[in-house]
Parts: sequence; structure tokens; C-alpha cells
Amino acid sequence: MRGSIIIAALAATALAVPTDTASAQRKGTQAMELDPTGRGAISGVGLESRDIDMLADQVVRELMSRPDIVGGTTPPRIVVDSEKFYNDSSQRIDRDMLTGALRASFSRAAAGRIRFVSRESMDIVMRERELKRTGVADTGTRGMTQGVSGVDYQMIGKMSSLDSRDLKSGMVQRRTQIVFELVDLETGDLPWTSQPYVILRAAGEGVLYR
Amino acid sequence: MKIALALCAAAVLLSGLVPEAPVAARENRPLKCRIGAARRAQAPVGAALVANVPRAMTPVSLDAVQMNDRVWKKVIVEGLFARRTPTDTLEVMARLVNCTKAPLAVSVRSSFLDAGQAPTEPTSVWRIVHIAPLSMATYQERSMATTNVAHYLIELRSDQ
Repeated sequence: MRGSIIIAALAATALAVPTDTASAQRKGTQAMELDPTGRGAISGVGLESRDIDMLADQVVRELMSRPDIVGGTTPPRIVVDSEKFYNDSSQRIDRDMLTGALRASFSRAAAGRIRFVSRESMDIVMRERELKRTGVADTGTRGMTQGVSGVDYQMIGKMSSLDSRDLKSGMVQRRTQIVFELVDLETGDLPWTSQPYVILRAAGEGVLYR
Repeated sequence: MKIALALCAAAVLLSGLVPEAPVAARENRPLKCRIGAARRAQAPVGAALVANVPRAMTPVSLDAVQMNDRVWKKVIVEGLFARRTPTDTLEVMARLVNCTKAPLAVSVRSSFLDAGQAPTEPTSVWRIVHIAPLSMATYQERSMATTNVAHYLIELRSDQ
């Protein structure tokens, strides 16, 4: 009787070990849910996920307090795209992700105080206008206009960086700076320049951004 | 006689009746914090966020700074300001003091609420504020919404 109990216990242990190992392995490889505005599981010296949200939030809150931009009775028309956003930094980044996040935050915050115009989609706009005017398509439900919307301001920006490396320790330091500006498309004036978004980070081990 | 004077002085000190020295007399001195006094201070009277079950959560005062347990022994709020911008958004500012002798990086964010304590917009992102040892730094944030913002809450945390 005693012997059978010991054998049963040993068998149970033998069965339990692979299960635990598999569980541990699964825990180690499973994807994690992370806060996109937090530090994340991998962080380096460059622009990170949280910086994109911080930057968009900072720019939008700053602009929404400008009476010369959003204080008028007629909402100004603004283009926010990556056409004039230059990345001169040493980091590779999808510029559309930055300007897309900015436009999304901006559009939600504006709540009618700003009108956003697309110049990226001019080809499909012109195609539809042509179809309507040749009678292939009807006028739609919103009516027709003489021309497409003229733009008052365009958002432009530049991302640049300053890199340094300690040859002895291999430690890397990078200053990344992003500045946005609004260009008056009639006069060429710059009525607003954002507070520079600056990060300075140093790390001993590199992270590959791609 | 000396003992009587000393006792009198001690009694006056304990009663808290010592007249505060003029602020101007304190310049040119190193910064010192009395964290204990800040921690013992009464919660401000006014609007607060409370749990739906009574006493299930510490009430969180609105129009104030809420700190996590890693920060509240290191940082003091010297000044808190709120004002309307020309476009009627609300601008809040907090002047923070690093009471430690080491540089401190704290994360700060703001929530903006209407009169019924409902959020008027998404909470701002965590912003890193660097405060030099025994020095001050100012955190500043603006709302996106305008006149319907009635309250704000600044959250301060540190992972250090």
C-alpha cells in the first residue's frame, strides 16, 4: 500500500514538471500589453513610443491656447501632413506616424475650432470633381463648390539629433530635438513655433530602431 | 531666573505662537524642507473625487496635486496656479521643490473636469519634469476644452 502511494506521488511529480516548464516558457515568450505612453519593455536613446504621444499632446495643447489661431469666429484651415516634416536626425522613423498622431490629437481637440484640409488626397478629390462635372456622377448630397478649400496654414517641422559616444565605455548619448511651426500660406509668416521638444538620453547598450 | 525664561521660551515654541520671521529675512540661506509639516497638513476643503463605496478610497482633492508614495517624501508643492488663457482654455502650473540632495525626475500629468467632475478631455500624457537638488522646477499644462473646464487634478509620480 505504502509503495503504491510513493509510486503514485513520483508519477504525479514527473507529470507536473514538464507542465511547469512549459508554463514558464510560455510566460517568457508571450506578448505583453504595455502602455503606449509608458517607457515600454525596450528603451534606448532615441525617440520612443511615449515621445510621440507626448509631442502630439504638447503641440496640441499649446496651439489650442493661441487666440490668433483658434480665437477667431471663422475657423482657420490647416494642413497637417508629413510633406514638410524633415527628419535630419540619426534615427530612422516613419514621419507619417508622427504627423498622423499629431493630426489625430489636433482634430479631436479642435472640436470645430479648426478645419483640416488634405493636400495628400488631391488626386481622389480631383477625380471625383471631374466625375461630378462631366455628369458621370451626380452632385452628391453636399453640393459642389467652385474650387477646393484654400489653406491658411501648413504645419511644418524638423527632427534633428546630436550624438556622442564615450570611446572607453561605449556609452552612447543622444539629444533629439523636434520643432513644429505654422506657415501662413498667403504671407509666408510664421505665426507660431512650438516649444522645442527635446530629449537627452544615454545608454550603455544600444537599441536598434527600425 | 534663566530656567524660568527658558521654560517660557519653550512654552511659546510649543504653542506655535512664535512669530514667523519676515520672508525677506530668509533669503541667502540654503533651502530646507519640512516634509513632516507638509504631510501633516489638513486636506484642502473643496471638491474631491470619492469612491462609489464610502471610505473605499482616500478622497482625492481636486484643484490640487496628488502624489504617489515614492514622491511625497521628496517633493513639496510651493505654488499652484490656474488661469484662463485668451482662448478660454485652462492653464495650470505647479512650482515643485526637490527636497533631496539628488537630481529628481518626476512624471506629472493633468486631468481636466467639468463642474460635475466628468472628464472634459483625455488626461494629458505623463510629462517628465527634471528638478535639480534642493531646487525648484515649474510644471505647466493647458486644457484642450474651454469654458466647461471647472476643476483640474495634477498627478505626480516617480519610479526612482
